[in-house]
Formats: sequence, C-alpha cells, structure tokens
Amino acid sequence: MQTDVTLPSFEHINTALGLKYLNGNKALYLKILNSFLSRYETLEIIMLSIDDLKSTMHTVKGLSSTLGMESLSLLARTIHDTPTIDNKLEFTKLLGMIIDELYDKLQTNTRSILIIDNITLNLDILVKGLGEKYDLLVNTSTQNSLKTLQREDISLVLINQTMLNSTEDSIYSYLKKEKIPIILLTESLPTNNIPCYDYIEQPLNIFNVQKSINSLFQTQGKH
Amino acid sequence: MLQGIKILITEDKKINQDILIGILENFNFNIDIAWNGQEAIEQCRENQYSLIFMDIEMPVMNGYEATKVIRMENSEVPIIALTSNNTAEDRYKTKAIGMNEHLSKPIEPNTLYETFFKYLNVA
Repeated sequence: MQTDVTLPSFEHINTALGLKYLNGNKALYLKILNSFLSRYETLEIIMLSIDDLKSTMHTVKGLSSTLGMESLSLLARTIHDTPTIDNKLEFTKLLGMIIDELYDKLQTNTRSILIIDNITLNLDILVKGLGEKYDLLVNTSTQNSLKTLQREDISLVLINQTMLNSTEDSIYSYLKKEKIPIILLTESLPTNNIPCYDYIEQPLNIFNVQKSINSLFQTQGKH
Repeated sequence: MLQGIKILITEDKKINQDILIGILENFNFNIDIAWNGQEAIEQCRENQYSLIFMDIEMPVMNGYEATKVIRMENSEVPIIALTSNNTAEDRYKTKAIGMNEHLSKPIEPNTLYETFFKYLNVA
C-alpha cells in the first residue's frame, strides 16, 4: 500500500477509476499521466488524415479509458467510428482542458530530449548540463534515430546540423509530421535551410542551450 | 512460483507497455518486449515463452498476422489479445486466428491476473 504518493484531484479525470485499472499503484498512475501529457500535449487532430486519425483515436480511446478520462475515451470512440468537424472540435477542446489540468497539477513532468550528434565535446557539454533536468537519449548517428523517435515520447530534438541534410530527410519528415521541435547545433550560420525552432552555434554554451529549451517549453506550456 | 516465468509483451506504444509492466511488476516475471508482430515472431523463435500478450493494431505486422505465423510454429503457447477493439466480430476473429483470450481495454487487473493464472497452470 503506497502512503507517500499524493494524487491531485482533477475536474476532467476520474482518478479513482484510473487507479482501479492500474491496480491502485499511484506512482504508476502519475508516471502514465506524465507520459500522456508528453505524448498528447501538441496533438492536433483537425488536420490529421483519415488513417492517422483512426490510428490515433484507436490508441487514445483505450489509453484514456484506462486513465479515468471517460469523456475523452467516449469521444475518441465516436470519432474513430464517425469523424465529424463538430466531434473533432469537441475532442480538441476537451483534450486541451485535460492537458492544462495536467500541466497545472502534476508536480513533475520530466521531458525527454533526443540528442543526435557524434561530436564528443558536444555530448559531454549537453549531458552534463541537461542530464539532471531532462530525460536524455543520445544517438551518435541518424541510423537508429527514427526508431528512437517512434518508440519514445520525445519532446525536443537537439541535432547537429551535419546530420540533417535537407527537408527531404526521413528524420526531418517524421519530426515535422509529429510536430516535434528541433534545435540545430551549427558550426556557423546554418546553410541548409532547415526550418527549426532555434539554432545554436558551436562551440556550445550550455546557458544558451538551456535558454532556448526553456523558451520552447514555456511556449508549449501556454494554451 | 511465478517468479522467473518468461512472458512476451507485443505492443507498439511505450505508454501501454509501461502500464502492463507496472501492473505485472509484483509477479517478478521475466518480461521481453516486442514492438510489432514481426519482432514477436523473431523473439518466439529465439525464446520459450510461457505466455504472450499481443496487441492487435501495430505497424510493420499486426497481431493477427503475427499470431498466424507463431501458431504455425508453436501451437501451445497461450496468446492473449490486449486491444481496444471489442466488437463481436473482433472477438470472433481473435479466436479464429488462434489466440486463446481477448481482453479489451480498459483491462481490469483482476481479469488480467485470472487470465494468466489460468494459462500458466498455477494455483
């Protein structure tokens, strides 16, 4: 029996129901709520293709019912079967309210950052400077990065410009599709015209990196 | 008596993997993860599992296709579908393909426990 984990109460989440499906494990419930927040904070279903919409709603309907988000689950089921503009707008509004509540009431929201770089000095600086505050994943090549992106809930990608050649790149395409922000680590002014949230020149200054990340996450936190 | 029993969780969403692993943590199973049906087939060829939890809708290869292949190579291993799909047609298809049980989300932990106790032949 857990006595040291306090669950906040939510207006749009039935925590008693969610705990029931997670066997009363409060720590697990909080972990999954945080994962839900990371995964769906930027979800915009209005522009999704029919196939992507069905796939997303299939996942959301099961997951949200497990977490006690009964209304969201019901909406997801409806949209999965019969999408309309009205029910999609209703879902967007409800999801926004749930995300806002989670932001307000969850005490920890450890975001995952994927670093794609093969320069040891950069990796040392970034891991030492960011490792305590964020959940860091590192790929030293792009070879496994797509798999990492597909399997983990990544909030931000820090990538060396030399590893992202163009907007035709499969990594870039995936990041754009999933709306995962990019911060490019550049030698000088970037020359490959990759749209991104920010550019940070090498040699890296961790304070500039942190400032850029803070600015991004603060922007995302506002709804 | 359940400690060390080897099971396979086939699920493409990490958040769903975390839920299942969290619910099962007290049983000390030896848990492997497959991210899609193709990986599940490969894992089954390399390992002897006492039970497989199988999601249905996955990229690369879905749970139905994976089950068909696994059943050709192993008719005994219990395969439990874990899915958000819950129509009569879904349940029929699950059994017709060769899965042993169909559990629809949200899954009651007690239902999950009863199911694997049933197939793991433990009291």
